[in-house]
Amino acid sequence: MQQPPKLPLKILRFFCAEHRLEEIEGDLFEEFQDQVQSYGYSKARRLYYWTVIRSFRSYLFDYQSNSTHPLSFITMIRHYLKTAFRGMYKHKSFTAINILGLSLGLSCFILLSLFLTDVILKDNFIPNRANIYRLEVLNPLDFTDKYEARSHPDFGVILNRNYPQVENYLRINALNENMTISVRNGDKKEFYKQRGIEADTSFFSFFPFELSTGNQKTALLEKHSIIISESMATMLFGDEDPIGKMVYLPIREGAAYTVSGILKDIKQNSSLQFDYIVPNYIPFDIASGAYSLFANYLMFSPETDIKQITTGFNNTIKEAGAAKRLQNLKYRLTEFEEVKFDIQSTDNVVQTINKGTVALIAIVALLILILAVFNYINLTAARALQKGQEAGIRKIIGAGRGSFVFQFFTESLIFCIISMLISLLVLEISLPYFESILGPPLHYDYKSSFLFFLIYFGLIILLALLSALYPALLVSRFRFSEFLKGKAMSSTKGNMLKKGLVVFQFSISIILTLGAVMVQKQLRYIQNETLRYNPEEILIVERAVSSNLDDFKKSLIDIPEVSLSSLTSSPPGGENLYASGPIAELDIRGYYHQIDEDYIDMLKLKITEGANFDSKLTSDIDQGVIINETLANIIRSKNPMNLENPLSGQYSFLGIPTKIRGVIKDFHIGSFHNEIQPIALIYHDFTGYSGARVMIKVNTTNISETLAKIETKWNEFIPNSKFGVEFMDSKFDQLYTAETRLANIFKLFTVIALFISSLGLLGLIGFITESKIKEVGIRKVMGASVGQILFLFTGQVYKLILAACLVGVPVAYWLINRWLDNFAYKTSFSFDIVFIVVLFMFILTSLTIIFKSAKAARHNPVDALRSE
Amino acid sequence: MKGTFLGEFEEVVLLATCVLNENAYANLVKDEVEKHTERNINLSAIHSSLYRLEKKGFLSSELGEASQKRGGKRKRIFKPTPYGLQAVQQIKEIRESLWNNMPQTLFQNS
Repeated sequence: MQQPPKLPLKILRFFCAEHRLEEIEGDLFEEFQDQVQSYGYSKARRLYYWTVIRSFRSYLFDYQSNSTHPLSFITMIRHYLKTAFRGMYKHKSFTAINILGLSLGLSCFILLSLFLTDVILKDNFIPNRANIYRLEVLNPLDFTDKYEARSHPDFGVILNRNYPQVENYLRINALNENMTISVRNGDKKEFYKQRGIEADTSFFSFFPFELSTGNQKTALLEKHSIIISESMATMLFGDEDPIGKMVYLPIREGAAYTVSGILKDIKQNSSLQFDYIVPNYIPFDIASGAYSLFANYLMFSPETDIKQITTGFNNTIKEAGAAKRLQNLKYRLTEFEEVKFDIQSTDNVVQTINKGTVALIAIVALLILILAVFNYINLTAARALQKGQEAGIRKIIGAGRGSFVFQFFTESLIFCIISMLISLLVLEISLPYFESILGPPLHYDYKSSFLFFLIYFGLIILLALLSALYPALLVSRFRFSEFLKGKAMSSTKGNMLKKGLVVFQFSISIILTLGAVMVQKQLRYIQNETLRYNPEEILIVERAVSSNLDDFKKSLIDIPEVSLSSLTSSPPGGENLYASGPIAELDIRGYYHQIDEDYIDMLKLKITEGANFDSKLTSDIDQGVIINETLANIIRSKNPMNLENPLSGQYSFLGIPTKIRGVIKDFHIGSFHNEIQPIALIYHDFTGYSGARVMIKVNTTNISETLAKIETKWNEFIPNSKFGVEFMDSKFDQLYTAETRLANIFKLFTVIALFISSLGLLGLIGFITESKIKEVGIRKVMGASVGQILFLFTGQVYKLILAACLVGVPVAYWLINRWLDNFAYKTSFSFDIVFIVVLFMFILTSLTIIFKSAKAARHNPVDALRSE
Repeated sequence: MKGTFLGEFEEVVLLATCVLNENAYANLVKDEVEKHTERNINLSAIHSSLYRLEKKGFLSSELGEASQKRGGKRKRIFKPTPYGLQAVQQIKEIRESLWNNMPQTLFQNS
């Protein structure tokens, strides 16, 4: 007699319920014998396998209650599932509150996590990013402790030559964003604005962006070659083959560049975003103090001791024959992964992400998750005690602590999985909206990522386990008699923790609310200064180079809607600058801006000393300069000439000894993140051939007509330049997108957090009122009024809210101050705001309580008492 | 008919059990069903139906004797309960009464 194969039999024996095993095994054996006879051994064997596989049906797992089978808990799970679903159905409002809170919390958490994932995964396509460092320098003479991200372009070359650990170097610089490039289309010239960089040929060995046409190694070798992106190629040349075509750049004497490669469009997950690259070929001499600034990136061999190696840099540079100004510098190497978070020292090539904002988003995500989980734990625990009789009976039958944990775990898992499914749905629906307020669209495609779902599911299981633990332990602590007598419900056991959780929840809500208010306040603070001169009424015309600029400006007076106009190198709201250079006597770097006589009026700047420029005196530098208070203070404190009035002396602004004509109050040309630099405003009348931007103050009521009039004038005077115009307030908006975004995030998530906390409170109050229904009844019989009974409930909760304030406010204070440190100019944490937020909390909770407990208070006491 | 929910396959299995009269165990039921329906059926499907029918109260069962052919394992003999017999009868009656009302013309064309 043939024996059936062993393996399937073993499997069957393991899984099958004990009381069914014998007969099923026998049936299978008999069938096997029949099949051996009719089909032969090998086919019978196959059929046997198949039958065993097919036998995995519910009857196989039908373990009896006294079963000792290792899988017999499945029966128990079935039972738990049944009771859980029954309970959910019976307490619909509890279930709704619980699932709503949890799925809302999970949705927010998962959304924010996705955005954080995007940040974390940024640049992971660069294989060597761990070995790439940026060289940063600090000139102790520069009156600052900020390391400069851009330095002398020869540094990279020298270090590469002298240190074997430096495997490669890359000097890279962003070209002026406002620069117009042009192509010839027949006789016509077409102008475009694109983001460009200049870089060494080593660029692609540092950052391996793919070329769809051309060779990474050779495309930048030719001095006048240019690599453009696919979309730029389409924009410039349409469907024609762009290779070999000419592109004209206004840099380097308006040279023509030959397209030598096509770059695949750069994806969102790159910190470097640009449309074209030109090679960087100008040789710089370390012996010369005059140079343009480049970001020096160095590729180190993997085992290099980065801290150690910088100590020798200064000597190496000095020995290479550096100019005097470059002989005494401090050097620092910043890892590429850090460079993108460094908002202080930027090189304009690598886009920076505000680490503070990222951290805040992470904190908010975590807080909301914790909030939702606590909510869940609290509600579940309260309900577990309420259905105490069930637990009591379970205990009599012999349920231990483990079995309670398991029961609650099953229940939690149901809630969590339902919430998870809802949250995935919410995610799918709301993602486009969140992408619009959180920033650029997500690069990370979670839907096709198995890992994402795996991690999320793992998180859900963990969450279910954690949230099951507390109610289970709480329930298993009571003796069954206590349950049956109904003592557990009104017991004070576990009250400390329950209250603790409520306090914690409201602390989080307070932190978030304060955060939202303070971010708003800082934004308003930023806007306030600019609001003085109504940036929404000021037009900024793109930089143009012409000899008619002054004539254009003067002609604007003919347009009645234009009240004022000004020519300048530097309108506020960007990194505009005329020039910067050392001021020898003061050992600092000065920042120069060219302005005309209307600039100060236009921006309503306050002159504290001296006078504005005079348009009747034409000569530029003879009029002197107007400096800002920052610079004035430096001069006063250093007083290098030992004058009685230091400001009366002549200092070499722009290298020429010049007197000071006036002092103005500090104002922001650039971002509020940056310290105000020592600024000197230089008069220029823009009558000759010169470049400038025009600020035009207009009446905005009939703006399109006004714009048309201005454009006509522009074409009349400056026909060779495109008329591009933008309102100043939109420039500011661009400058503070990160903050505006943060404010939006905070507003939204604060509302959600408050909602979740209120849900939790609502549920909890529901349980309290239910467990106190008899107490309330008796009080009413004794003559208590509705108000007195409401007070009974509110009094307890107010204590908790007060405690939450005591916890939340200091934490919020600390966190917000950390964030405000990102700004050189910031508002302060004020206590009237705290007061308003706390008051708001009390009102919110009062409303929640009244909403829920008013019914109990108005109840007829007979209904509550007659059942006894 | 109220309360008796029998699927098509369950009904066939139940009928086969009745036919086998006190001898019915899974393998025989399978052969019987295969013989009458000319379908190829997996033994596990028969098991599943038998146990379900037992749970629903249409069948009762007891362990029978062991034999060499079964590798020394006993078999479970199923037989219809009175409730089960009542159910198959009811089903038959329902079908018959429906057939009696069937319009004669319906099958003439085919």
